[in-house]
Amino acid sequence: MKKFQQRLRPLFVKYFALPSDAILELPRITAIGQIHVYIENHKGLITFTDTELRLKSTKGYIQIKGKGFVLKMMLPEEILLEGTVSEIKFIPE
Amino acid sequence: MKQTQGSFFVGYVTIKVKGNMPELFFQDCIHVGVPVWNVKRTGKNTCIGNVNRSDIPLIRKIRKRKDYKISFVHKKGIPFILERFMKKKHFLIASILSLFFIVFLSNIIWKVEVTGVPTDLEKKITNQLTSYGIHPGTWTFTLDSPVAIQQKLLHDIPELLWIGVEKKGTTFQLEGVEKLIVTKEKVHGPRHLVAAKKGVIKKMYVSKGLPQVYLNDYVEPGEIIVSGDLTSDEEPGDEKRMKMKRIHVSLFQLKEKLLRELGTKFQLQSHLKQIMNCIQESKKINIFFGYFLGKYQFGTLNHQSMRQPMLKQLKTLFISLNGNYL
Repeated sequence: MKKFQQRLRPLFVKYFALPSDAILELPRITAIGQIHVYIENHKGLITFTDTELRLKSTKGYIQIKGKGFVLKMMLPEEILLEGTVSEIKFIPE
Repeated sequence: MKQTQGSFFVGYVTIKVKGNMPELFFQDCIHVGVPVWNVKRTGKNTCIGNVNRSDIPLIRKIRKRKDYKISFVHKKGIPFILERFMKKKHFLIASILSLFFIVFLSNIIWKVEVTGVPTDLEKKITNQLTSYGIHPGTWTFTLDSPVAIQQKLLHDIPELLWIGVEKKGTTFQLEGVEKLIVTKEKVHGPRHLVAAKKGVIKKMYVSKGLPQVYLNDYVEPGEIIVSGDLTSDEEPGDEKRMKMKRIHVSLFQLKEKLLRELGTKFQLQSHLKQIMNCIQESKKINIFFGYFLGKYQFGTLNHQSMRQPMLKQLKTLFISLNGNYL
C-alpha cells in the first residue's frame, strides 16, 4: 500500500501541478547567500556542532558544513541556521 | 521568528546543556513543542540555547528522562528584572516613599500671592483667607473651589470691586481690584443752568429760577441760561435782565388784578382777553404758567384759609382758558 502511494505521488505533482515539497514530504531548503539556511520539513536533528549540521529527512540526510553555526530558531520541522555556509550535501540512506 | 518575538516581556533563560550529544536535548525540546533559539555549540559536550521562562517546567520534565545536566546561564526579561527589584526591599520602600512624598508635597499650598491691591487691603485679604483656612501649609483637598473663594471674598470684603482667584499648582494667585468709594460733593447754594455748547434756544420751560435768555436767542458756551440766584436780579446795565424784570412786573400786576377780581366776582371773558394779550406779549407761555403757579402756590399768599379756595378758582380758570384758547 505504501509503495503504491509513493508511486502515485509524483504523478499527482505532475498532473495537478501541486507543490512538490508538500506532497512528496521533501525538505525545503532556502539559503540566503552564505549566511542563512532555512530548512523546513526535516525529520529531526542528528548532529549539531560549530561547523556541521546534520538533519534527517524522508530519504536520507542533509549535511550542511561551514563555520560559526548558530541555530537561530528551532521549531518542530523547521530550523534556521546562521553562520558561514560552505557546503550543502544530500546523503542518501 | 514569530515564536521568539516578545520573549523579552515574558522573560527567557539561557540554558547550558551538558552531556553526550547535547544538541539532541534541544531536539527533544522542539519535539515536545518548546521553541528554542540561539542554539550554540560551546564545547564538545556542551550546548547553550534560549527558552521561554514559561517552558522551564517542561524542560525539567524532559531532563528527568535523559541524562543531561542543565544549568541556567542567565535570565533575561522584564519578569526577572521585576523579581530582582522586588528582592531589594529597601529600594522598593524608598521608591514608594518618594512617590508618596511627591504626591503629598504637591498637594500642599506653598504660597498665597495677592497682587493689584494696596498693602492694607492685601493684609485684610490675607487675614480673610486665613480665616477660610487658606494659608501656606494647608492641604488642597480641604479647600473650596477658587470660584467659591472668590464669591466669599467679594462678599466679605466690601472694598473689593473684583478679585481673581486662581490656583496654580501649589500657589494661590489672587489679583484684586480695589473699589474706589467716592463720596459725592454736596452742592451748596443756588446753581445756574449754563450752556454747555453754543446754540439757539428753541423751546423753554422753567419751573424754578430766572430765565436769562429768550426764545431764538443765540448762546455761547458758559452763558447762563437760567439763573438760580433769584435775589441778584438787580444788576445795572444788563439789558436782558431789565427786560425780564419788566415782564415779571407786568405779570405781577396781572396777578394782583386777577386776585382782586377773584376775591369779589370776575368776568372771565374780558380778563381772559387781557391775559391772552399778556401772554402773546411775553411769548413765553410755559414760563408764564410756570411762574404764575409757582408764585401762587409758594409765594405771596400765606394765609391758608384764603389760599385753598383761591387756588381752586384759579385752576378752573386756567382749565377753561386752556380749553378755549390754547
